[in-house]
Amino acid sequence: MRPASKKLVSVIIWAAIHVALISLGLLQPWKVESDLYSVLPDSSEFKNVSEAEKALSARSMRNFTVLVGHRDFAVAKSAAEALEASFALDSAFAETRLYVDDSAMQRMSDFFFEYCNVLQGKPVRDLLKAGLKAGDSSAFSAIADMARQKVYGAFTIADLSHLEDDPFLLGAESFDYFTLHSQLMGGRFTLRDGVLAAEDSSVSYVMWSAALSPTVSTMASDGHVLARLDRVLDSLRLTHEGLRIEKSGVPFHSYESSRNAQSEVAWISGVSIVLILLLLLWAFRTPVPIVCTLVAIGVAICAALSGTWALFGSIHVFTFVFGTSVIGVSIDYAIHFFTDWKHGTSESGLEIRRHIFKGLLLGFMTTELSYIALTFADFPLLRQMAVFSIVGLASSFATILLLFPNLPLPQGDARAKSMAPTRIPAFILDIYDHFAPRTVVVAGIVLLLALVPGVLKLNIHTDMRALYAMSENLKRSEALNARLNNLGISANYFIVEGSSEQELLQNEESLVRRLDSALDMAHDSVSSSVKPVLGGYLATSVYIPSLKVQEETFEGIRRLYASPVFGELLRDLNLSPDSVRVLEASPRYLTPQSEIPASFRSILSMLWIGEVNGKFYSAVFPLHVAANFEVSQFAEALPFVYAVNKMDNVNATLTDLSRVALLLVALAYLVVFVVLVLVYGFVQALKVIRAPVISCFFIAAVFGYCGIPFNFFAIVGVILTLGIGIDYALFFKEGGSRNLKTALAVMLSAMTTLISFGSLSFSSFVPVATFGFSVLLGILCCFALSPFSRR
Amino acid sequence: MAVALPTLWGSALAAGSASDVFKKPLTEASKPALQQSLSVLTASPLTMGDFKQTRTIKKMNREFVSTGSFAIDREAGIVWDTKKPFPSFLWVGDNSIVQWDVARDSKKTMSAKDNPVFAEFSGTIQSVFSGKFDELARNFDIFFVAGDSFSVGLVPKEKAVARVIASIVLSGRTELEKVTIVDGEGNQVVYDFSAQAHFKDLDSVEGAFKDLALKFKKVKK
Repeated sequence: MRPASKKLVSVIIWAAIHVALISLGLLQPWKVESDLYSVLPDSSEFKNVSEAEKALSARSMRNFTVLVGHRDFAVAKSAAEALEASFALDSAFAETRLYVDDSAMQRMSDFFFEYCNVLQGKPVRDLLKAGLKAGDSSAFSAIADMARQKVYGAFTIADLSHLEDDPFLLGAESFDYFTLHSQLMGGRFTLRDGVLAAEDSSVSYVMWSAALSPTVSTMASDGHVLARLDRVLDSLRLTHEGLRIEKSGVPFHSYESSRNAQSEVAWISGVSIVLILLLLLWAFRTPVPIVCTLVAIGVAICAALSGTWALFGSIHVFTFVFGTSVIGVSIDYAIHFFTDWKHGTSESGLEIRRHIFKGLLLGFMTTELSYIALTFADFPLLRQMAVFSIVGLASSFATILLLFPNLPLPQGDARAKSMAPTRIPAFILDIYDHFAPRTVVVAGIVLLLALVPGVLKLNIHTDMRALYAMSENLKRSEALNARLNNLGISANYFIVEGSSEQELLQNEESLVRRLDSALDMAHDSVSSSVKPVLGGYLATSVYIPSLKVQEETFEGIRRLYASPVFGELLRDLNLSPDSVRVLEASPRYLTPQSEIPASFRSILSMLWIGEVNGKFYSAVFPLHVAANFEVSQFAEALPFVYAVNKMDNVNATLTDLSRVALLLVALAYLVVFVVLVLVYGFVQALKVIRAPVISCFFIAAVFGYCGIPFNFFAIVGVILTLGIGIDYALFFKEGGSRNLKTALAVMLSAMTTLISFGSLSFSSFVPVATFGFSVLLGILCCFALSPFSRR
Repeated sequence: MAVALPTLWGSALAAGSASDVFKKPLTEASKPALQQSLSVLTASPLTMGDFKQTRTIKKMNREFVSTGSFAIDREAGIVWDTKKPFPSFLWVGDNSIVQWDVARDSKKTMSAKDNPVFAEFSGTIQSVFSGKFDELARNFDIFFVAGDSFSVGLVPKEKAVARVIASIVLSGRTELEKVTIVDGEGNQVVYDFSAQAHFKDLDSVEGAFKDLALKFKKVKK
């Protein structure tokens, strides 16, 4: 085939591949995920309720609180009112809450009176149960005494107006139990002038809480509702001198993180790109390679996006961050082509391709193999990142081999070999040439021995908590909020499952019985210095018991009315049996659909997940737990209860995944090694592979010596080092012992990679910094070792 | 040693009916007289006496009367020992409220430290019975009438509280003699106090209140 035809066929193949790939992606609806929960791996025991947990998390992740504080309560309240007025009608909020209706207590009192024969707290239910046992009249007497105490005792706030309808005052008893004695009353907030207020260090704080609308993203943007909220708060600070604003809730953390990440990405990538462009301009003295390289990168990213989209249906923002390897490797391939194009002796683009083909192909295959290995890991995000990189690299490889050879070569002096900036590569290679082979072996052994203690100190562990550094302002606000609310909701909790609402409530009650036993033990040991393992819990079935429990309660109350205790009580209260309402034969039962007071409804909306995939779910939150509280212990032998230890589960799974990913890449490298042995023979293959392998140990040793946990993100850096680093050794191997053109290309490749990834290590976003630092170390080491693989 | 003071009873209070007091808001001019009146509540470290509680339920047109003894200790709080017709014992301390079922010897403790409702309750009861002016002024609009006797009217500033306590009237001469608490529905509880005696501390109590002093000491443990 004539060269012109060859070139045309190449372009047609390149265009066909890319048009097909990009069309595939365009056929899918475009969806970008930014929610961390959507990509965290599910631990094996948790998979069944993953959807329910995600629904619960998504709900709680939209709620937040702003405490508006001032030494003068009136000023704090006025500022909070201005805040409420600014956002009460804003469609970005699902709801905002400032005012508390002063009739709320009355409505609760009415509710507990209405359901008093089916809804009772544990103390009364225990007495009723005991009373149902033949011969135990003291339990019923104790219930009657509670009523006597309310009528004749001092300072009771019980509503006695229902005495003739409810002589045992069970409504008042239920009201006391569920409101005054509730765990929810543990905070310092009280109703003051129609709002919830609390005092701390002589400052009065007024609570304003809100929930973002489900359509609002937590990713920071200029017109974001939280940016508008910040502007309103700033103006309130200006108009109310001495005003204190404390913000608390997940949306603020997500917003702050993404805002910091965006500004950081902007300056880090800006500096990197400028440095890389200057470097390339210095090396090639013409903008053609730079423009072509940018085109190759652009096309590779489009292809990678489309391929990932077509395969996964969506793409996560993390994939973009880690997919930057595509840029790094695309630049490397382009640099190798253009070093020859600008400073080589090849007569045409096709001849350049012939020269670099073997090295490029081997580099491409080894890198792709590493990424293919990662697709076997059971973690959607890792797979997505691997597919993104595989497709992007393939596109870049195709562009270099099929498109770039069509470029006309520079003419005349512009292509003079002497113009090549080879002084630095020559200087570097001279240094390497001064090393005697024996010195290199001894130095290598010393280096390897020096790495051993560091590797032995390595702590392979991922702790997501350590990866997020909260700003001082948010930390202070969260601490104040926790102090004032004092609810002590545990991060570890339970998700309960049932095939119907009633089965779910009954299953919850089985768990609640276990929690009650722990609470009873805590109360028994109240005088001891040992901190109780559990301080309380929040569960739907406490407020809406199963019909079974409600029927038991009603049966107990029916027997209470039938007992002699009833007559004695009427006598003591001077009530005539004729004036007292007869207990109804069939009471009104509570269900999750019943109308309940707003303050309880808001708690239940947090606990009740509802129907997910044909099953029903709810959450049970332990309160004020001790460090040794183990949710899994309470879920033991209860197949319908799932202990959610989200952070520990995720950490353990990511740590396991890190190990699996390393193992998969090690296997891939074994395959790479076999291929290299077939191409170069055993010894030469070993020489090529040693640079990236030693580099990985170097990264591990530095992390070990510095005491930095070798987490999932560091390990992704190692995988990238293995993928990219081997290319340098291969190019040196293919380039020959004194090929300054190759040395220049490898140096430029390494420099661009070091600039782009090394700059990431300055990020304040810990996962990105860890990843960048890992790649920085690996590429530095690879670059230092790769000249030893020259022929 | 007992420091028993003569009991002063006024069958009718010279300051007029309870509702009249709400026509006289506290003014800067009447403040010193109020503080002087309240000083009868704060003068003694420990006041003990008998009470009669009359609870009137408007809707039922019924009265429930109970009697017993009380103790107000400046340091340890307030004790209400109801004896008839149904015994019950209540201690309102700074950090907790304890209901003691003496017959069953079981105590129900409500921590005021961890529960703002109980803290508010404890604070209000103690401020009313111990005459702490600053506390009263913080939570109530104050009304005051004085002559041979005094009447202090209290109306909660907080609307939500007003549903439970619409108003309180304290009245007396040289002792607190009567407290009337009216709720939002118009129901009222009247405490009539008698046989007040003043002591240095619980250990120095003798005579009729010795048993109450012992119970007080026991509940504090």
